[in-house]
Amino acid sequence: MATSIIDIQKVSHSYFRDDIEIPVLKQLTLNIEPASFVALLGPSGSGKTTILNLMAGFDRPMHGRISINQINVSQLSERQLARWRAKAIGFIFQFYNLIPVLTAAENVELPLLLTSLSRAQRAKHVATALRLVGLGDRMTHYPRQLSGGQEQRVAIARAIVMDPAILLADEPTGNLDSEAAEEIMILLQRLNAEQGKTIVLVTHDLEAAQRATTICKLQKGRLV
Amino acid sequence: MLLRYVIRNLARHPLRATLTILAMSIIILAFGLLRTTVASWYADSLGTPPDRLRTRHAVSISFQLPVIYQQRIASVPGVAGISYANWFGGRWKDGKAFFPRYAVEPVSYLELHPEIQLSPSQREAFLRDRRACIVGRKLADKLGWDVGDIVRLQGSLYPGDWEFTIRGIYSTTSPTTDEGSLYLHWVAIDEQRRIEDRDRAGTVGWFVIRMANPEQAAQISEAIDRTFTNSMAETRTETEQAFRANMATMSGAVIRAIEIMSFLILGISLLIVANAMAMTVRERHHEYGILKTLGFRASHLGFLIFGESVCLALFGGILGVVLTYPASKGFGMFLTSNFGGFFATFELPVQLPVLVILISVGIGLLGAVIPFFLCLRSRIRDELRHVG
Amino acid sequence: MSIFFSYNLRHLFARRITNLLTITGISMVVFIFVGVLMLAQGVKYTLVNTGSMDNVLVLRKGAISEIGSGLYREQAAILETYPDIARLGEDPLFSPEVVVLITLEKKGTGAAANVTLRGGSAESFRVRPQVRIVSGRMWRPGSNEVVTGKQVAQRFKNGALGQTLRFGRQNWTVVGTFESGGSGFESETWGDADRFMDAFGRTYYSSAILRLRDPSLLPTLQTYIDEDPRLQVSVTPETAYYESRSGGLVNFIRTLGLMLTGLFSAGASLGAMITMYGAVANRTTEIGTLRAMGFTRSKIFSLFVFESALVGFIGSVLGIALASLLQFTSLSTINFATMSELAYGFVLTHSIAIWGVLFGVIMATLGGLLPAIRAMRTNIPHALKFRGA
Ligand SMILES: Nc1ncnc2c1ncn2[C@@H]1O[C@H](COP(=O)(O)OP(=O)(O)OP(=O)(O)O)[C@@H](O)[C@H]1O
Ligand SMILES: [Mg+2]
Repeated sequence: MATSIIDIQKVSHSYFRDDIEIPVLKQLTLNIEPASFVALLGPSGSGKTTILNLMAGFDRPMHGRISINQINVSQLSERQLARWRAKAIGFIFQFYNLIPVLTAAENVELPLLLTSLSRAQRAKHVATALRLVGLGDRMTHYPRQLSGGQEQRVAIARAIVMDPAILLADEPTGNLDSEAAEEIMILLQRLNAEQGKTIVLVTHDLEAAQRATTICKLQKGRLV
Repeated sequence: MLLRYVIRNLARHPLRATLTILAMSIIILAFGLLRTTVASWYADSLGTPPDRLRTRHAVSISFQLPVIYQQRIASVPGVAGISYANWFGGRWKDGKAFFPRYAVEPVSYLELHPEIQLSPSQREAFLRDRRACIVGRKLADKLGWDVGDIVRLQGSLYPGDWEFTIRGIYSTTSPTTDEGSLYLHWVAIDEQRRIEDRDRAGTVGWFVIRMANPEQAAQISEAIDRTFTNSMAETRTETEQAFRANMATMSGAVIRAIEIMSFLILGISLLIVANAMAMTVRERHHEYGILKTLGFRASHLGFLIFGESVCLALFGGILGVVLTYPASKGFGMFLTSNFGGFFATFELPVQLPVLVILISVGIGLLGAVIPFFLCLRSRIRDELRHVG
Repeated sequence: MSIFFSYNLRHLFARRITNLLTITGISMVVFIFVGVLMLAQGVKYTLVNTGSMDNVLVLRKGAISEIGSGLYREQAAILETYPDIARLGEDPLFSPEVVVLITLEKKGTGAAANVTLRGGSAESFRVRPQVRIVSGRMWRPGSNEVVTGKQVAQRFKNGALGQTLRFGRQNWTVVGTFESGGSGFESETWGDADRFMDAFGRTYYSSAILRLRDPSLLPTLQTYIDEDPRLQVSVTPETAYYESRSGGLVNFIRTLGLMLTGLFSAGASLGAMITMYGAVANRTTEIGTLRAMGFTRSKIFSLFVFESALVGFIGSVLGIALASLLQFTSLSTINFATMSELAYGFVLTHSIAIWGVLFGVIMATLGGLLPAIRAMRTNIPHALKFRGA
């Protein structure tokens, strides 16, 4: 167990709406080993996004403990959290969330601005990441000039440009047609196999989930 | 129904609506103060009684007239009363606090200026003491003076160090006459000239004349001036109103600059309203698209957009006017006490609320023009796509 | 940081209508702000430039203006022989002058305005080298000829070369016009001292201008005057005299102008706030994404503050550019310190421009502060739930 990169211990989490408690996660325990590719399945509202947000430190669990790479995420301060997140986690969204006024290359460059890398070094990293996702020739394109699949690949390039050990993806194919979705899944698979990234993928797509090494099912806040 | 929709729309973005209304009201407040400044500048000339004339040297106000003209002017038909005055000039302390100082013939001057109100005992005390002066209520309050205090002045037109005892504090009945001046006895200072500066002794700055019949102002003025034609010091006589209006127009450029400024800032408020509306319309692209598919025509959408804009501007304008009243008190106090020489009074023009309401509606309508065209320009297809 | 700059710029461009409206609003406020300062500076410049560093103005003791002053011929004669007066060839640089106000009609409106009339001699020009006759010629001594300052020639009826002015019950032919580098003299009319005295029934001068061999000799002159009981006069450096003339008007323009500008700039600030709140609301997802990438709260905060500062900067540069055009216009108004008409322009200085930029940037930044705090406080999961962007 000491080898797990993501260690979730008895995490419970609730939301409150008008003083009414809505329990979402109940005593959830989950261990993810390094270089594994976990697909998180479950019906809508089962708490998939919630657990992913907790892993990324967007929110703090009410009970339990989340350790990532031996670091207790819930104990980090806002500032430390931000710094840690920049280095350790890459996040991929359903709606890509590229910044429309920046080009593909600039979008990918964004996280690098938080480092002390020189402009030339940054350019090199950006080029590498974009080539890796197969968009080496689209550097100067703006998001609106790209297809959905390409946009998502830029987003993946942005997630990996800092070379984090962990990639968290929340329904990355949810907005794509099956062909584009497959391309994205192949890309994630490659990143897992070739680069040893630990990937946690939330999806509704059973077919996509088959590409993962482990499948976890979540129902009403519990693993089943 | 549409109107209710307009009102609901206003409440949809309470923060933006509040900010817009606030911004608009602040600018209207500034506008109100500027208009009042302009109006007060000219107010001086409007409030003076119409039955008085002023006779001065024909060349300019810097020339003096011999005091002996008094008898000749008094004998002109239609002249019911006469007094005279001169600037004392000089400086008080470091000269920073400026207030007008007049040397007058006290008995006739007070008689001709009933708006200068003095209690009988103070009047008596002032008339009896040649080294006395009276000061306006506002001036006394500002400089902390009281009856019995001594005012030390350094003379300029009348050289030397002077001391005058305050024997009275006057107030005025007319809101447009200032309470910021000092009056002293002309004889007291002329006495010294007779000893030290014979050439300039016995001269006054101007005569004040009361007419028996104000309708004859033109004839009487002409008759007075004719009396002195081709004499060493020709005169020029005009109504007090004209005299003051003339002084006011001389500073025309500054006042015009203030006027221009007041309209420029309306432009700023227009931009703010237009901006808020442009943002609103942009956000509701989708909604307007749906309305169009429901069969809404441009005129309906126009009603929604213009209606909301006018409401915003109008609320802001009304709030601004309401704020102007208390604000003008403080601002007016500041102006009259610091620039008393320029502003005797500071009163809001009565027509200001009406003016502001008209302007607000105008701003609301104009402000909606760009947003409305933004809304018309986009096609339904684009608007519905805006979401995805 | 360069990508931030272009990031902000592009965002401004993406929402160009809104931002353009805001920028225009700020530029108008800055225009007024800078305009007020330029006007005050213009009056000051005109008056300060009127005096010359080396000249000393002699007035009657206690007098605060040339108009209200008097200087007897005997006094002038005594002063003229003072040994430390600078000389040009044989003649001492000493010019006794008679200064009076007259009323002339302005062109266009026909309104009466006071004009300063200065009676002197050729010495008047010699002590003031900056005053040059630019058309026509100097008056002949002892004649009813006058020369008018450029502003009088332009703004008053019958003030131009070759025309005839009427004042003091006599006619005066304008035989020349002069310039003096934009100083207050350009609003004056000059002629022969004796003729003016005659016309106005005066027997004494108003004041005298003299130049000392060295300006530092002024205290010696003061002592000399104090010791001679016949000389009941005061001496002031000419520059100090004209500077004090500008006080009231400059103060009035500045105080009134800046108070009101301060007030309605709050309106423009709120305008900027509306825009920035809009920008923050529009970019919620984007903020969430940046935060997910590891951007700290303070980074997000500075990003938005910087963006509003940029709006302020662009607005103020525009406003200043616009205001700089004012330099081609000029105004005239009564100067209460002399009761005479004074023409002046708008003067833009470096420090005014810098103040303008600062004012605009601060105004916009203040407006952007609260929205930036809201951006900073954005809750990540919540922000990421938004779609679009
Ligand atoms: N901010 C919130 N406030 C209140 N309730 C919330 C909030 N966020 C999520 N929930 C509730 O928590 C539960 C889990 O939400 P979560 O977003 O984790 O579901 P999910 O498994 O990701 O669903 P989906 O597949 O639809 O994305 C839902 O029932 C949801 O209503
Ligand atoms: Mg989800």
